[in-house]
Amino acid sequence: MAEPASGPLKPADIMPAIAGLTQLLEANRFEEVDRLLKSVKVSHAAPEIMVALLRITYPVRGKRLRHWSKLLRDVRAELSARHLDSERILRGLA
Amino acid sequence: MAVYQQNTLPFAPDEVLGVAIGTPNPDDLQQRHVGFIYQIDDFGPRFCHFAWHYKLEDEPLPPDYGWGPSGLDLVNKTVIAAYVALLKQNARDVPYSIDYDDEVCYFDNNGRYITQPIGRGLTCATFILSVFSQLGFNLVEADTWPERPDDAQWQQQIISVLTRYVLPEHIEAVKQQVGAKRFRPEEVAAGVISENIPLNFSAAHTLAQEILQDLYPS
Repeated sequence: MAEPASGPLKPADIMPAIAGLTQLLEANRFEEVDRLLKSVKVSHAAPEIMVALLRITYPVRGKRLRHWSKLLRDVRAELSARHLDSERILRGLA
Repeated sequence: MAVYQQNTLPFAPDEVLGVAIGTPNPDDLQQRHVGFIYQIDDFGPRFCHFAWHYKLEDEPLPPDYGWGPSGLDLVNKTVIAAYVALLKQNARDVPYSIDYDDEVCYFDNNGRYITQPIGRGLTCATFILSVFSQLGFNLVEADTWPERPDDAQWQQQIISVLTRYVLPEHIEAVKQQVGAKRFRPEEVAAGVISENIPLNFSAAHTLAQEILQDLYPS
């Protein structure tokens, strides 16, 4: 999920990641999801993947996912470093 | 222009997310319908919408519908388009009802509808609000919405039709909600296309009127 970014991804590019994440959540494999969030290398990940991870897991962020908040902080910093509008992209998640 | 007619200006090939609004029954222009429009491949835009009680549909965008692009940034548009494309297989068994509580979580972390107390459910418009809410977006400031007499009239009409499709206990509970604030399709469409969410009622109403002008030019 943390592949080098090479231009904007299309919806079809990230559907497998969303489907896989959804399956993990459906199976209540929260520890695995949390490990996944922890393992994201934001300096190499595409913005669409990072935002998908944060938004799909948003409903369970506080209860089961210890690394969600740190990932949000890291993604915010990374998007800013790439001169992307992090406040606009991450709105509603703070 | 706030929205464009699909049969005169089709959803652009490079757009991925927007809102579609139209009139399901040409004889009743007051009854409007709204849903997501998304595009993930070269086969044209899809219309994902909550059509009716237990009927979540995903089909090609009808040519007589109007569409407007999402006001979000491209990153979020891409994420939400992908999420909506997967909704049909996840979010089923959604009941229809007229009340909406923006504090309630309608979907679980898998995108599946959480069974609510009897009589609760969604409309085509609140379906959109709830999906955005699931992903961390508030399209509207719900507490600024007024209760309007003509909405109660619409709610009564819906109940008279819904009676034929649902269990008596569901309809009895829905009847208790008549008079609840209503998020009209054009107001929710305004929330989708606006770059300045959440919209308060005044802003949504103004943009909604523009949408209606575009849909039904006089």
